[in-house]
Amino acid sequence: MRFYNYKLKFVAYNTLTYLVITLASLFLILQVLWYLSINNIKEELLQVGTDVNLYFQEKTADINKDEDKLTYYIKNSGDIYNAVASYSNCQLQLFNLDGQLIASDTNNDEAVNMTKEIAESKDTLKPVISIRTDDGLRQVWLLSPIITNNDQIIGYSGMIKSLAQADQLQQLVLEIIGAIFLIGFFIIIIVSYSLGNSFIKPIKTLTKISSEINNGQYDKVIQYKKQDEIGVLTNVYNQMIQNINNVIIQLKGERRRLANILASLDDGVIAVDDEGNILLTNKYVKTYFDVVDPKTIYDFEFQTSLINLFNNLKTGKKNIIEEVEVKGRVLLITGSPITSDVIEENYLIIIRNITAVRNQEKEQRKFISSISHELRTPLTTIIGYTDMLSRRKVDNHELLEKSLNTINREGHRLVRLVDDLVNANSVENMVSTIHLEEINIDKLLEDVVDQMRVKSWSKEIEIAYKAEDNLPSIPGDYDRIRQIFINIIHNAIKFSHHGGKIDVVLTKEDDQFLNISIRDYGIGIDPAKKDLIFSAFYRVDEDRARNEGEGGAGLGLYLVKQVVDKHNGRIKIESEIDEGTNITILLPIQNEIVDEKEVI
Amino acid sequence: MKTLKLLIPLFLIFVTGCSNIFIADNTVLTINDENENIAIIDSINFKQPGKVCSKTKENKLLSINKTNNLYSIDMYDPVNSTLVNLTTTENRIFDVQAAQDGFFYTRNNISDPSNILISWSSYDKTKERTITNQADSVDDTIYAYDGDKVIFINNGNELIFSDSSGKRKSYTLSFPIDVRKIKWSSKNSTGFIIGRELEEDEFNLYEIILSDNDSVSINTIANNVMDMDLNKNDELVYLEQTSSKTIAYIINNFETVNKIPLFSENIIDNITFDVDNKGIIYSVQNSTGIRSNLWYFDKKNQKKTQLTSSIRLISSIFSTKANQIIYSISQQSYIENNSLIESNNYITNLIYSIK
Repeated sequence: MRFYNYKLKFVAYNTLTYLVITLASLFLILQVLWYLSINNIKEELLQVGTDVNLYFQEKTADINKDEDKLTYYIKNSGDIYNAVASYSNCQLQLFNLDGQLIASDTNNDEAVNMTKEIAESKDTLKPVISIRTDDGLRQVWLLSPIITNNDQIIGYSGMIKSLAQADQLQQLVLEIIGAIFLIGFFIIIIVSYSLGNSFIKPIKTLTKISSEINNGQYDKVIQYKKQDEIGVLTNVYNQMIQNINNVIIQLKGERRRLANILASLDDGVIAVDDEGNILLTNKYVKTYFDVVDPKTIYDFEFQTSLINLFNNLKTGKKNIIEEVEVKGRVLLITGSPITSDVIEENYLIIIRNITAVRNQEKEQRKFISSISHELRTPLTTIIGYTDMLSRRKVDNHELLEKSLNTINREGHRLVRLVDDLVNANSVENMVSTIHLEEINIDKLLEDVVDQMRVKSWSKEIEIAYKAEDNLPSIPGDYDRIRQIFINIIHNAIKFSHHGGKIDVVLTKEDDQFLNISIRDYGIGIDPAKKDLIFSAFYRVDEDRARNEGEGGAGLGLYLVKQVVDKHNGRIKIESEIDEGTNITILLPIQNEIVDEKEVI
Repeated sequence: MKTLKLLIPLFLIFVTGCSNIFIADNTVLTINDENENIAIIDSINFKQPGKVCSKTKENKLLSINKTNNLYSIDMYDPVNSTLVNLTTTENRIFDVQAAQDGFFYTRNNISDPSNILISWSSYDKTKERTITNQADSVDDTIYAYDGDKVIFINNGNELIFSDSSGKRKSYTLSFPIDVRKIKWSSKNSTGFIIGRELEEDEFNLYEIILSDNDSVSINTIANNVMDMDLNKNDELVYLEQTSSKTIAYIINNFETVNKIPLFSENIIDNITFDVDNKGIIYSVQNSTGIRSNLWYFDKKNQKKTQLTSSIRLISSIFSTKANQIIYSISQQSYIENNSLIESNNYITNLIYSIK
């Protein structure tokens, strides 16, 4: 029988042990009692037999011959019987040599059948004992030979004593022990059950807490005050839980660090197992692919490319690179297996947003295209005129002067273009390095306005400056910000009518931004082209700008845009033809010019 | 289950082993008790009436008999089983102790039955005197010592040594003793008393030592003592009753009082050295509680031999020569109305031999 319940097992074993011990004890006690009873009776009956012998000896001391002694015995058996029976606590019978009854209790004429005993005693010349049952009553029978000095048997004395008392005693002992056993049986069950409970209780507590730990509750402590073996176990267990807790805290910390690292990466990260289950990812993956809480690689919108990449990785290819366009972004996806000590294969997929790079390349191509066009135009003119001059003899002085002037002019233009290229490069350099400091914009604008007023005098343009009170300082690069306001006001002056007006206003937009507005009432910009105004080398009216000697590379507002962007600000332009232009710049009051990943 | 598998064979062995204790029903078994033996009775005489009380130097016995309200002191000759009357009186005689030329005996006075006196009488019946007076209020137990002296204890807690003329020497005991038996060493001033302190139930064995300055020291040797005997070699044998049995001890050095156990039986109530000092004779109560069997213990081979059938012993046992003992029995005794009724007492002269 198998027990799967410790408590029941404990009870069963205790009960079984109790049963065995009790039964064994009972058996032993009964045996001993029985032995002692039989022994006592035997001793008593032997004494009576000895008495008969000695009495007979006393009475026949003067008789020498055994035959005469025998005769005396037969003749005086009654007297012998009376003498001994009077003080014996047993039934006495005297037998002759043949086993016939010759003296007994007068009320009992029937002799017991002691044939077997007589036969045995005759052989051994010693007393014999047996246990008989007569009318349902057990008796001890002892037969003792009556022996002369010459070891002659002349008769037998038979002593019988009832075992009723011994049987009663045994029965009584059996009943008492039986009752004790029964009471003890129930007590042992109850006590074992209680003891089992007390043993099991801390184990159950251990089990319960283990389950809770299994469910993630690592802050549990087992309370057990005793310092027994269970106490030692609970101490070790508590220590183990503490260690597990510490490890979990450590692992959580590692995970957080990993998450922070992943979050700090500029690239999206996906780690998958060989079944496509996502092991970890970062937010850029979700941003790029617009998937919330992906579980597998198959949850991504553009799963085709990712699945293909994944499948290729599974086939054993390494370092796969693909470029895809997703929602207006250009993403470079690279995949490679993660090498580790474990057998399982995991893969790492990196997604890099190369949209800015590609745009920059596009801008560069466009720039190069623009430059090459700009370069080609004067060069074509110069080559054309020099070709003409070299191939033809020009006698016309006027034509010659015109040609040379044109060549000169185009040459200067080339020089300006080269300067523009250098400046463009400088702008890139300028924008790439920003030094933040707390700037009083009000003071800065006041200085700039004062400075630009000098330039505006020639066109009698009024520059009005207004600022709100108690504006906060803002972080920024003083020189760069000063330059952008110079560029904007410079453009406003350039494109204002003679005697016009320019309004410069500084206000607090909200808790996050200061608002700087520069409004001119000049020629304005075609609204269709105002988005191009911040592009490099863009000039609103190329011919007019070129013909009217309005030099400039078209980089001023480009620089403004770059610097505003670098300061995490905003720039907006509103313009109508012949109504003027309003450029609004928002500069942040609190600026963290680091890690703003949403560049585009 | 493993426990059960272990226990079952043990149980079976146990049962098998225990089976030998049993006498199976209807099985006849021979009893082979080797230690017990029965003496051969060579002769026995129990015709002379009387209760033997003391032994003379000639190995004759002094006995007390009562016939028709008259008490007589007789001398019993075990050689020919004859009885000679020494004195007869109306006074009740309690004890008689043989001395050199006469005998001491305790008696009361008809006029004052409660008062016990000690008298001395010569064997030839020519002299007689009372050596104590009423004031002594003696115990009924006396002991004849050193020829013509008697030892007794009076109510004044004095141990008194008196000669036949009444000349006495007294020693005051530190506490009163109710005396059952007195034995005194003939060689030194040491004696033994079985007695009990007043209001105590148990009789103890006391060693009494007399010093030169007449002071007495009493040492308790043993508790719950039934009987004792002192032989000429200054060996003391006594019976100490425990809760379950009687143990016979022997002391052969009075200085160290080192007691050596000899044997034990259920209840032994009488003990004496045999005259040649080779054995010890004692009586063992049988299951009736009234009767006893006399046994002989051989000091050399430690063997016990039963000498008599169950008898109603009413006196001490006296060994007059080797394999001969004299004692008194009540030949017929029976229970009537829950009282023990005894008939006359008889002196038994038993000559035995041991196989």
